[in-house]
Amino acid sequence: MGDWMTVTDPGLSSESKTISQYTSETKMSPSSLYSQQVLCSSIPLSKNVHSFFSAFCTEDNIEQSISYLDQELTTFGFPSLYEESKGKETKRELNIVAVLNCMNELLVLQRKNLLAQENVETQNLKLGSDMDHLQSCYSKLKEQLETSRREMIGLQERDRQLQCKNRNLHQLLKNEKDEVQKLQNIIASRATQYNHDMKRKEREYNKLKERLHQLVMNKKDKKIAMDILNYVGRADGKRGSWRTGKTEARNEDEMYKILLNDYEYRQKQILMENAELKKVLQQMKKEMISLLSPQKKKPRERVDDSTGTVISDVEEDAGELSRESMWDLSCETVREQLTNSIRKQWRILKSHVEKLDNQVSKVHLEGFNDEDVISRQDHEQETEKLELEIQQCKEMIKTQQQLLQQLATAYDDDTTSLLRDCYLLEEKERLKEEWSLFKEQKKNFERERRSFTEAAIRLGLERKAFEEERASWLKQQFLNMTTFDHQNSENVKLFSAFSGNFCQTRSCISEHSSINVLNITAEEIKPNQVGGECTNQKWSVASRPGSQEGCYSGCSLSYTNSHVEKDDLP
Amino acid sequence: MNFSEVFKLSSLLCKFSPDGKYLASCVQYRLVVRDVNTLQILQLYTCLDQIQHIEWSADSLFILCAMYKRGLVQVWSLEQPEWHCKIDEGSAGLVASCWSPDGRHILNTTEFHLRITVWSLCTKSVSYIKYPKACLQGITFTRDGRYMALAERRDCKDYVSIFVCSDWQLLRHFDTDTQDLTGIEWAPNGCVLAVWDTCLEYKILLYSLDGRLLSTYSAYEWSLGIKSVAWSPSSQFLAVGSYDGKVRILNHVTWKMITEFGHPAAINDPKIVVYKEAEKSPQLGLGCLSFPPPRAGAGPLPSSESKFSLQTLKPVTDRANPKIGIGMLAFSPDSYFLATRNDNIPNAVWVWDIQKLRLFAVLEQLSPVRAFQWDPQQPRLAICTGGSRLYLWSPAGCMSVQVPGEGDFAVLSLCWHLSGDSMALLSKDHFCLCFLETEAVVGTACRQLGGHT
Repeated sequence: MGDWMTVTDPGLSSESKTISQYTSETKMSPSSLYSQQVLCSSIPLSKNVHSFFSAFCTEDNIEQSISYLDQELTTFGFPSLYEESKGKETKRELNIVAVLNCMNELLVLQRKNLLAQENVETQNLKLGSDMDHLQSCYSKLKEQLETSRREMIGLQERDRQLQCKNRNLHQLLKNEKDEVQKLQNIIASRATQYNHDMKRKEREYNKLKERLHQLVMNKKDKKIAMDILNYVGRADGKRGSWRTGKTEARNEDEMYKILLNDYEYRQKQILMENAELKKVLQQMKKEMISLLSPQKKKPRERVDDSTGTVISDVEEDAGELSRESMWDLSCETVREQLTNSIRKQWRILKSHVEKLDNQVSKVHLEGFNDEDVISRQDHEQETEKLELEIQQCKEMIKTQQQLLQQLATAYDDDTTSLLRDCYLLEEKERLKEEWSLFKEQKKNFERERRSFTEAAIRLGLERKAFEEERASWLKQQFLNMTTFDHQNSENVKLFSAFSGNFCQTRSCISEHSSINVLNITAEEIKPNQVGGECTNQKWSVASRPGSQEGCYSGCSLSYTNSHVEKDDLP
Repeated sequence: MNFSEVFKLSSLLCKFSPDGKYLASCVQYRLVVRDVNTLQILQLYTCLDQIQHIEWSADSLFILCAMYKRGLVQVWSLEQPEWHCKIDEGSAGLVASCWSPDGRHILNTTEFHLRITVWSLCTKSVSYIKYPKACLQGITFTRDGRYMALAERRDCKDYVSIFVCSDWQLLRHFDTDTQDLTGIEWAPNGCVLAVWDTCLEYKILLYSLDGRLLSTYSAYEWSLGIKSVAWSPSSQFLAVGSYDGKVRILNHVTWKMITEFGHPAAINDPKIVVYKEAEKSPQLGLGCLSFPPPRAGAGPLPSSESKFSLQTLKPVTDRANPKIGIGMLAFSPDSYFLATRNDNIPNAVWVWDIQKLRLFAVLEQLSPVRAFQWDPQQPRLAICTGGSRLYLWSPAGCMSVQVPGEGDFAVLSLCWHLSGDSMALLSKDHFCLCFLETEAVVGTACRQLGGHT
């Protein structure tokens, strides 16, 4: 087996040589080198194929190679290549089937290995690229870390410097403060020293003065005198008075009187001022309340609260006002109440104004969204228009006034009265005419009415007569008819109904005699053309002047209906 | 506007009589009394020495002339020119002399402020008041002349004594809580006395007529304090000017500060009118050899400038009584305006509107303002700067007038007449009278700027 070993070794070495060839040729990374190695090893190159294959088995050593291969295969777990030996001494025959199987197995294995190799290679590549990427990231991060470290150091250094500076400044400040304090102390001490010295010197000086005074008084200098021609009278002409206790008391009294007068004067001034200010405050309060209360009509969420307080304030203040006006004193509580209420109102007013301001600013920003708030331009235009109108009106008023004045002053009294009379006469004439017209019209109307009433009465009478005639005629007819046909009980009913109807109609007529006398139209006639048996009645209905359309026609209709269909009577 | 002719004067001693009829002026040792309208000399009196101080009595009947060097006071009567009165203080010396409000007593302050001697012209009595305080304004009389307040100092403490002027009885005597009282002043209504402390301590105290302390006010500590104080004529306001360049107004009801007026060098408010005196180029007259003096005209500043800065003076820091702070304060007679001067902006006069409590106008002159005084009748302010021009300001406008004269008439001081119709302008050696017309004419004069001679 040593031979085989040597044979294999060179094979392997030749493999490695080829590999080293490859490696020397190309400079690759270890991973790719490795893959190349694998590739080299897996795919035999065409160059060395034959030599590679012939190196192992030649014509001479077939048996040996077979036995070797068998050994190898059995060690690998493949079945033996030889056939089952019958005896120990006989030569084992090559089992071709086994050989073929083994070859197939080997091929399958080879393929699997190749696949696995490929997978491993791809994974290798991936891992390699990942590693590259990570390495580059790592290096970048390292750089970043370095720079940030350097920055931090720089900032720390700056911070340290600033802190040093700060400390120095604090120290300086402290020093200055100390110095100031020291100087103040020095000043204080010097001041006390100075005072003391001054006092000492003053005492000395006083002593000198006293001494001098004594000398001056003692000398009794004749020179110290007043030389006066004659004594002058007092300014107020009175005589001098002795100094007594009374005069002292009087002086005191006068002094106090002066002081009191002054205080009283000042107090009066202050009271006046107070009263004025209070008045002003109350006025202000009233005005503020009046300003804020119209807001009740336009309820808005936020304003509602303030109006609530306003109302309550108004109620409160009404009571207050009455109290205040009654007393008009400057007592503490009243004053406080007044100031508090003023402050409240002012706060409300202020908040209101602020809201208005906000609204105005919103309007300017957003445009004319809010209907209630008009833009400034519109407002100005409106005001201009109003002003123009006012001017025009004023001018008109002026001209009218002038005219009036002219009218009033241009004529004398006589002429004016004459004119007035003239106008009145005219009016009177006109009125008379109209009056006469009215009277005439009235007369006419009266006449017409009378005539109408007469006509109505006549008509009524005629109708009556006609009715009677008709009734009699109908009676005759019936009498004639009943003699022939007794089965027409309906007709009897009819007759009774008809007579009843007649009564009804008569009453209708009597009620509505004077109205709508002439309103008989063909329309009345038309709906009554029903049935054949009632032609007589129809005719009678048609010829009779109807009073009230509705009633009459209704009656006739009902009559006809009852006759034909037996409907309900109206 | 008319100017009278120029008369001689010495020591700026020129005073109108309280009734407005006479004008007294001094020339060396002579006292000249003139009629105000005609300026005719009515009386001429001769004193024994150079007069240092003259004062009219309240009833305009007497004039006192004080000669401090000799320690003499001479009193002259107008009604009786031959009447004379001489008060000799002798070795006691004389430092100050004034009338009492009734016009019959003279208060002489002796040297070293040893005592105040009250000499009576009616009786032979003499009164002495011991220990008066040696301060700027130690004596003050109420406007109605009833009471006198006197500052005293005993045992290193300040006191105030209130005397009844009619009989010189001591009404009240109380101590004040001040370190070193510098001044006292009655309110015009005679019921409140303002007492203020030395400039080393800012403190002003208000006492009632009966000696009760009503209130104290102190704006700040340690820095230099009050420099000037003025009551408003209605007694409603008390203006306190201090070394920090601010005027603080106290009100009479609470005696608390109602506002303070600062005097910054830069004025930013465009509503304030600033009048700046500007030099106009001299007009050369044709054929005229002597050049007329350069005329300065006043005009309001154009309103386009929003910021106006005034000329400031840097004070010397190591000297006492530095030139900073509000040195001059005056209310107008109707209390509507207050005129002030900030000593480190010495060229400007600031006029404040008291109704609105804000600055109304600023007048900047070319030279430091020497004096200003309000017209006793209306809000009209007259200003002089030591030049030969007189400046008048009223709410309607501002004008400047050149005082006529051969040479330069340097107006050092001025003094209004009681009626507000005329004004006395005083220079070192002369004085003249200026007759003003009514407001309407002043207005027209305003328009004619630059056309004056």
